[in-house]
Amino acid sequence: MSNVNLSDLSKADESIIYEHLSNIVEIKSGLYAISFLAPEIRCSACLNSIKKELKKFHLNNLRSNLLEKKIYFEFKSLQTLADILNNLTSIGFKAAPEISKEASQYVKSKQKDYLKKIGIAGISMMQVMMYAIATYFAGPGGMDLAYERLFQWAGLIMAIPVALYSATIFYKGAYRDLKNKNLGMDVPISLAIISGFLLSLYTILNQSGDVYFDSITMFTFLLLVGRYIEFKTQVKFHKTKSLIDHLLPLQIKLNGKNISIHDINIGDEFVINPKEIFPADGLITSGEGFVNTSSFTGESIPDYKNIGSKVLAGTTNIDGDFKIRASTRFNDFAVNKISQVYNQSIFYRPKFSILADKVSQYFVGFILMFSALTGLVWYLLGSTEWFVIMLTVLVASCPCALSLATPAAYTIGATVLRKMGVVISNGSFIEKLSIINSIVFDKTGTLTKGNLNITNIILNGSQDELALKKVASALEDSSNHPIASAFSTPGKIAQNVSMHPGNGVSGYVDGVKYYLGHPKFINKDLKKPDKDGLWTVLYSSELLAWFKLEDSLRSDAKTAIKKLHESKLRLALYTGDDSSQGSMIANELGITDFCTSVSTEKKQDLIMRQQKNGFNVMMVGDGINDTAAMAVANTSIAFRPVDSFVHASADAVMLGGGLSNLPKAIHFSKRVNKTIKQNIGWAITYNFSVIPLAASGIIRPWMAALGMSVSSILVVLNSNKLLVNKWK
Amino acid sequence: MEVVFILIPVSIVIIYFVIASFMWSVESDQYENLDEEAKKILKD
Repeated sequence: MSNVNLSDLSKADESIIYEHLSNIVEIKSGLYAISFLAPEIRCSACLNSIKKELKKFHLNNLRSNLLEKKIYFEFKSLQTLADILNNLTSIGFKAAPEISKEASQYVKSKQKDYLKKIGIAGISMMQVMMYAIATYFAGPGGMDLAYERLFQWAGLIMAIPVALYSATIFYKGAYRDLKNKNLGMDVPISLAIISGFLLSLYTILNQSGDVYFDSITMFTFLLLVGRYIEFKTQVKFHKTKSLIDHLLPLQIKLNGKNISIHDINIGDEFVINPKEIFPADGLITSGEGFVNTSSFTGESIPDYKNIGSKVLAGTTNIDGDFKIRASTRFNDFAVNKISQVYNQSIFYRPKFSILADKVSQYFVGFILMFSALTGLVWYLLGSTEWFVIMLTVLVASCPCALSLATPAAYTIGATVLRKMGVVISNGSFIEKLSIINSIVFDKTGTLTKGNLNITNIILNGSQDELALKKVASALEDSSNHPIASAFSTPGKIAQNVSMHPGNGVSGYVDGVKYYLGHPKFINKDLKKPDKDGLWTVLYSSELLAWFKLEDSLRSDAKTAIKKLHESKLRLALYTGDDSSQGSMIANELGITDFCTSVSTEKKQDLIMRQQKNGFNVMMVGDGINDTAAMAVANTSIAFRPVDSFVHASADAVMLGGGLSNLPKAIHFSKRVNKTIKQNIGWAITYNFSVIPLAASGIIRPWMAALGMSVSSILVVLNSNKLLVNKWK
Repeated sequence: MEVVFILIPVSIVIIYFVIASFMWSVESDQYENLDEEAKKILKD
């Protein structure tokens, strides 16, 4: 945002805030919101440190996402924000601006760092394992002491870069956790590596006992691989994110100068040529023509716009020479609202996750105590293995998988739904969608094709219908205007065709000059035969014919509705208007619960009545008149919403795609829920079954390391399974 | 078998050389874009 006054701040604070300027949003006067990345977040304990720090500032609406490493909160003054960012840096969590050069550079350098650390750990691990296996094969006393010492020293030399370089990621994390009085996952990990290394060193210097270089190198290597996979899934998610970047140009021309869309002011005027994208929400001050809103709303029938019409940023000018005046600033653009709503839903964490995080915090404390106790018991029993067993318990029981279980599945679920064109605005949408058993459609609009067809012809002369259709088709033949697709009767060829943007076409067919287009094109006072619908008029020296262009039933509607019927969903169509098209469609699709002329209150009432009968209802609507019904329904999807209020009140927005994605989305939501349950089930089972095994000394430390990393990787991979395209 | 007293140190030297070349390859951006080379032959 550009209207923030930074001058009251000190130079240092100013530069800190400046980085984040484009991510600060003024919610209302005196209240701002910010979201940023804290790339150092690795576990729930880190988040807790941050939350503890932020609590001091009494912030509103603090939200965070572990997997995306994102923080969001609302604050009152810029000085507060500067203090917060400074404090976060001092406890080790430097804030990075979201989707910025810094963030992408950070990702790049982090990736290199991981690669180097993993590479070294991997190479060393293989080498150390070779030296260790030699001594394992020989067995105790089976090898001359001189050889054994040689292999031990070789192991030490190979383990040094692992312990002192590769594992530093964990030491740093543990240091940060302890400094902030938290018990994170890195504490037991670091403890295991450091104590294993020191004990082995002690063994070598005292020439007695065993060395554990093989265990610690493998432990480090496997954990690093697990961390790296986690890291990679986050990066994948970030790449497919920004709606704004997708729809809007970054820079636009204003009075010959290039400015950022963030700097558009109310009243700024822009010239929009054909095929250009509208950069701002605004009103048309001159020009007329058709506008394509499909990228925005899924509606592929072009809208006719003239002076005074409202246009939205992100829609495309088809053929008009428009001038528009911006009516809002960037923050209030409808497309930005969608984007914000989407970003907020990312912060949502289903209740399981929060529980899992709390559990894992206590769990780490429990592990430390339990492993110490196990070591003590084995030591008192006189076992020489006491230290190894203690190490194994420490390693085996890290609840990494548990705290990843929900966010991993949910984050990937939201990404996949987005690719289907479903943008989630209420975080609980996936859960709710998975349990619905009734769908209410508003209006026929959601069930129709979005392609124009001639549905009615009114002749106004002696010429027959077919001949006129041929003439109209000839005129539109070379046009790529969306209207042209409705005219597809071949047979004649037009000459000297000229396009009149926003009006229509003219040309000669068989030597006669014809005009085809908007009624205004022919005569300003020409009245359409019927108020509804898109009427096109064909004219030569006199008015020849009216063509009514209308949408028809989607080709996928029948199969989609059939699929929904097959999934035992109760379907209903409650429409506000009383057109005859509605009942035809309901009949054709086999929707029996069908009502026309339903008022907003009646619609609400009908839904509530269903709910009383035990149905979980999803409302599918597209207008402001549906928002009340959406509010009472268990969940809702807004189809091609044009008004920002509509998508704010629906749980999700259907942008592109169409009806066929609805059964897919429902089916998919069930898969997400199933995945979350599998993840949690697996994590709990693993942790509780491995601890007794480790404590009884059955498994070796490297097996524990492998098991722990594999269980975390399994959770992430199991969630990644959602990316596989099974919903076709 | 006394030869292992020479071979093991030699193996360590070689491995450290491998590690050094690996570090160099990461630093010089050789792992930046692993998909690109595969796609290159299709682009032409």
